[in-house]
Amino acid sequence: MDRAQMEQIDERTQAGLQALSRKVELLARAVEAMARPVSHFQSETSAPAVVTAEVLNAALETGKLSDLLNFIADELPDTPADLLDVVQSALRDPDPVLRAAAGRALSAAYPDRALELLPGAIAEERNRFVASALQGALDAAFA
Amino acid sequence: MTLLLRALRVDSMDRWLKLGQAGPTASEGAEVAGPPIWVIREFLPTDRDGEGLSVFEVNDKSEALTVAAAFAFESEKFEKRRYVFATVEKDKLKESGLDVVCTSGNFCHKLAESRHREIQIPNVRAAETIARLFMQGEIIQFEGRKLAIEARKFAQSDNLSYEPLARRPYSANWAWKAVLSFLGQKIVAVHGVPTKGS
Repeated sequence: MDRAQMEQIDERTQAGLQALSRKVELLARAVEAMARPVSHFQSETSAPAVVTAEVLNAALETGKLSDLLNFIADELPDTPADLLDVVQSALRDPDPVLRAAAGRALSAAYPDRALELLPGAIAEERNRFVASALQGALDAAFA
Repeated sequence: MTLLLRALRVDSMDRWLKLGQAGPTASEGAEVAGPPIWVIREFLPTDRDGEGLSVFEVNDKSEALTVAAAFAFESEKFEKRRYVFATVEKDKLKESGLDVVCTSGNFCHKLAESRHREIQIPNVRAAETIARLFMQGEIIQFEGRKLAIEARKFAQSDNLSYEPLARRPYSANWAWKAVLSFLGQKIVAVHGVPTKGS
């Protein structure tokens, strides 16, 4: 293996590590935001708290914030306000899967903010498949 | 512009999103290397397809919404689901020498039913061509919340054919229940009409 190849691998490893630490940080903030209103969930019925804990554990195990955001979009529109910050950060993440999931979560949980933020995000989006996912999310926010 | 829609498996969405990252340069590269095998798999006829690959022909996005809502109407809990279609321009498909034939599907909505088509796939090479063409097209994604509004309109309109719904094996089908309650209202109205001799 020559020097150029070594440098290339090193570069890729660095980029991978950066992406990972960025996602872990976002995930940690999401978990923190969702852990806080547990008493609120428990006071109403016990079921949502169980589902939330399950999903959080799954998201922690796989480290996939996008799964968590997709879950919010599909099942949990009553999300704490603190999570908005995480969703907005995820909308600007380099990972296309995370951006699409963030768009869906934004539309489901914070439709007002979705109407404000998604048109700009769609205009800037370079990934055509993510752009159509965001467009779908924006349409749903209008609905 | 006439588009052909193919419903995608939602669990493959993450892979599609990563594929869209590539942009025009990489899709040119992909043309040389051929589409990934999981993309080809999306465009191989399954048991649910007939002889060919089941697709829908639409003229614009609002017709695509109707087709998606017809899909949704036939399934339960669809508000928590999204429907994703890969699209290709019909002309591009024909330029590649592939045949599209009109066939009847088995859909409860009359427009969706009338737009059902099948792409004939004679061999593996054709399947690869189809996969590549769809890969270069756009994706349309509909969220369940939007479809719910459209699908509920169906139950109040005369655009449904009830027979396919009645044949569904599951009894808890909310769509069928919605149709029954709609028909029930109609029957009540008929009962209200005085009959001869009374």
